[in-house]
Amino acid sequence: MKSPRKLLCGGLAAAAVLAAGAAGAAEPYVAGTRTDPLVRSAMFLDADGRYFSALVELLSGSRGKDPARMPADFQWRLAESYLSFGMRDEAEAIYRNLATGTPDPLVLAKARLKLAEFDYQRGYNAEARATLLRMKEKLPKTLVEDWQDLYTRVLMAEGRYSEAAEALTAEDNAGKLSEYTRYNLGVALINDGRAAQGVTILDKVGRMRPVTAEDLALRDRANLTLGYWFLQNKQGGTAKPVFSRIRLEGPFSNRALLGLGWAELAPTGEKTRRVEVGDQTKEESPFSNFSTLGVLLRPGFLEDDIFTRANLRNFRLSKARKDEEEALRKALVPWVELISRDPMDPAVQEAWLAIPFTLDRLGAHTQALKFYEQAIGELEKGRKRMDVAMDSIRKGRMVETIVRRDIDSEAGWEWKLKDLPDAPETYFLQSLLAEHRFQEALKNYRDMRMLSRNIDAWRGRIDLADKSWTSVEREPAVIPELLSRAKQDSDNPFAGLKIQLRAETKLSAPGAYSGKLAAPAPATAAPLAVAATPAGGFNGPYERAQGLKKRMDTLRGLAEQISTEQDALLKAIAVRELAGQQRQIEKYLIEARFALARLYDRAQKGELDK
Amino acid sequence: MPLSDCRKSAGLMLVALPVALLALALPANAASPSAAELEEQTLKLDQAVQAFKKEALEFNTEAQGVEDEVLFPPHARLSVYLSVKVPGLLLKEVSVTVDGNAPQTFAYTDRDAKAMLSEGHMQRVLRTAVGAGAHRIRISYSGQMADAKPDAPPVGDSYEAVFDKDQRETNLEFSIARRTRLSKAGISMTQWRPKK
Repeated sequence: MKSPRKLLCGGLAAAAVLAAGAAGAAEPYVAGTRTDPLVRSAMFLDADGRYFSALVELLSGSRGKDPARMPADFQWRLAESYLSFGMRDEAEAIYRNLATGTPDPLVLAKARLKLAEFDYQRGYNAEARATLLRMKEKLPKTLVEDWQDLYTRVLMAEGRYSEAAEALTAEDNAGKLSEYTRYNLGVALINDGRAAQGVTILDKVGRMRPVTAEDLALRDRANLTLGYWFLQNKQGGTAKPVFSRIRLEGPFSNRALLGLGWAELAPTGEKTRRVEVGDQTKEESPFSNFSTLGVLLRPGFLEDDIFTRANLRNFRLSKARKDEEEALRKALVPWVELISRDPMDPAVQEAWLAIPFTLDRLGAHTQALKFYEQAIGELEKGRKRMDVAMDSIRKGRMVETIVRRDIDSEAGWEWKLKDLPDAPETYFLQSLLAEHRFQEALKNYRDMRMLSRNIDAWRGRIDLADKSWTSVEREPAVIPELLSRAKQDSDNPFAGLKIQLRAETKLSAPGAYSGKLAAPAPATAAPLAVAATPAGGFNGPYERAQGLKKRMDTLRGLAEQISTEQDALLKAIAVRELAGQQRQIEKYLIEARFALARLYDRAQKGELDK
Repeated sequence: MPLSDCRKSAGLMLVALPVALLALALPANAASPSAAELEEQTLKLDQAVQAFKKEALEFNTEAQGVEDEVLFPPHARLSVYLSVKVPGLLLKEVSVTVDGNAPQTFAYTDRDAKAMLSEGHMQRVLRTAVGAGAHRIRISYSGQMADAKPDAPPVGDSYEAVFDKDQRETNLEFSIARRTRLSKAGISMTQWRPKK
């Protein structure tokens, strides 16, 4: 190679520097290692989120070689790309193959954790659990907490709270667990019947010093869980300060305001002892804990009759508090704030019913009537918006809007829904959109759309290659050149063979041999011509291109069919979710109308004046 | 269907997929499928998608092989790669020209530019076919340092060289790097050749 010459500087600011000698003799690389341009190019594609392209690059570049026989660098890269694109079986096969060698145990363990996380997110909990248990024996110490975190989530998804709690408490590493894991531990302990310990842990998470927005959300979540727990267990006095820790504006603020109101009306509860969970620190204030505890996690939404659920009919106010009126007035404060918020939030809808109920209890019957009528109006609006949302989902607008914005992404499993579309149904489906089952189905749909377009794009490319093959005028083949090319990359099968020559002294001159002639030895091997399999049809690039064209049509049809099914599935999941919320609104409407009718009835009977 | 059975069925062959899909559709009379039905449907479809991905990947690999063989036969193939070894240099655009042909230009998104910065990463910016002999190649780039002020002028450079192409596949890497920590970023060229 000649020395490169720096000829000119671009129009940009850089100065020209002679780079003579920069390109010397070619640098050698071992195919499939980290210096191989193929592997390095795949590394770039992976980092760029183009996992499918990375896979094609690696597999087409290795020209049909068995990946299992390629160097470890190649296999790691391939496995990573497979998993990131959501092809877990292929990734697992490579990881297993790599494990038989002598890989870095930390890298291998991380790969297996990723595999288990993949299974967990896609709902294959048994597989995730099996992977985690298999790797437990040789788990590097640095990954213990990550392993515990994932294992606990898998067990909790299966409802195995006792085992989840055991997994988190078996190791003496409470101080190292992340706040997320501690939150899960709290929930697992409570569900396992060890409420005192669970509540203590949740309380600590609810008091942590947040550093990031995620910390804030987790702290709010812990406090919400804890607050409703106390409420459910008639510990209103304890629930109040816990709800008060939640931010006024945030994903959990509406439910916190609702809970705060109910906490004012719930019994105060009894004082109980604090429980040691083994992770206390010296800095912790001895007065920073709560005085009472509850037992069961209360779901965020409200399914029972709201009055029964809050025990407002059953508990005796005179025993619970000295001043019922004051409690009722205090309860109104957060609820009045709440009804100024989005009326589609179930917490806001419940507040619309709670306010007139409270006013009625306070004797403000006229205001109660007015609020019930307003509540009915708001709920009717909600029902109509729900109909529009349902229609939008059935027409496929929601899914289309979500996937269209990121249409060419090859992110596969790594893809995440970054923001929500501005569509009528978005609000109702917020929680659903955050769920793994919906996200994974969405990813599959996206991947199918991407692959459909990919196959379509090949139609033009194959036609071009086909045309080029048949129409380009070619130079006549130069036989020595072809031979030279064929030989340059081939190995000499006789390389290293030493041929020794010796003088044969007993040979007779041609025609002068007079000894006995021996019959030739019988042939032991079949003639080559018989042993060889008959040559098949020629399968050059042209023939392969024709085959690809036929295959393309089949693949395209299949992609269409699977995409349609996936789309139908997404719609069915969303409609089911909406139907549940619609039933909730209708239930509230019935409650409101019934309460209103009772008020009118009492007014007619003159009972409201008493 | 148990999960393990679903997992085993992942190896569906292409020909088997249409048959499998016949069973995938939600029942026509099921206006509102139950949660269990939806879960089963989700698992079945997931398996179908997995099998399709495998087929699509095989198709792409073979198609790429055909395209490479026809348009860029190994003896004429020239692959040009670019790597960035200057921390914080976010590329905006790169242009490569061989023998005065139309330049191949690549415009970078933020994500592309960041992906270039990791150690060992290398982007293929050109694949073409050239005959044996001497060829002139020119590459230029423009970019911005990540910590530069918004109104700072772009940084960039260009590099031109002549290389000899033999009968083998040729891989050229252009690296944007600094010789010392304080020196200006420059471009260098390396030719890579596989060990036999």
